[in-house]
Amino acid sequence: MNGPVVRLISFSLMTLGVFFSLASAIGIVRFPDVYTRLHAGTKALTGGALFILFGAALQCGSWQAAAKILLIAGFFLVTNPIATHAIARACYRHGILPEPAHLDHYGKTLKRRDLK
Amino acid sequence: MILNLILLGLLIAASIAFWRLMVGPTVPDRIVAAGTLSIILTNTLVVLSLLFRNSVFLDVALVFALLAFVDILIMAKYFEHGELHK
Repeated sequence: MNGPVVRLISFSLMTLGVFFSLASAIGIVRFPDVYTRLHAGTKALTGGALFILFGAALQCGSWQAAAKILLIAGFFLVTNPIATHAIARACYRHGILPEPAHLDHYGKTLKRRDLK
Repeated sequence: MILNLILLGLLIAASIAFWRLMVGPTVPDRIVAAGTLSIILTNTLVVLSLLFRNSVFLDVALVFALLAFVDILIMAKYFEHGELHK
C-alpha cells in the first residue's frame, strides 16, 4: 500500500489533523473559562488525533503496525470523553461555576440528593 | 519532508499547550493542558515511528496513552475529594 494516491490521501489526513491540533492548542490558550477550555481540548483534539492516526495507519508498511495505530485511535475515542467528563465533574463539585450560566439543573439535583 | 513539517506543527501545538500548563491560573486549567499535551505527544510518537521506520515507537505510544488516561482520572479524583482547596 504505497501508491501515490494512498500517500496523497494519507498526507492530506495528517495535515488536517495537525490543523485541528493547532486550533485546539490556540483555543486552550484563548478561551476564558475552564469549561470552554475543556470543550476546545476535547472535541478538536479527538478529531485531530483520529485524523493523524488514520493517516499514519494508511501510510505504515505492515498490517501489524496499522492494527496498533488503530488500537490507539480506538483507545482515544473511548477514553478522552471519560477523562473530560471526570475533569468537568470535579470542577463543578469543587465549586467552579461557568460564568454566564442561567440554568443550573445539576446543582438542583445535587441539592435534592443531599436533602434526602 | 512532509513528515518533518507535520512533526514541526505538532511540536508548535505542544509548546502552546505547555504555555497554558505553566501559566494556567487554576488547577483544572493545568489538568486540561496536561491532557491536551499528552494526546499531542502520543501523536508525535506515532509520526516519529513513521519517520524512523521503527515500530517500537508504537508500543511506547500505546503505553503512554494508557498511562496518561489513568493520570488524568487520578488527578481529577484527587481534585474533587482531596485537600487541594485549602
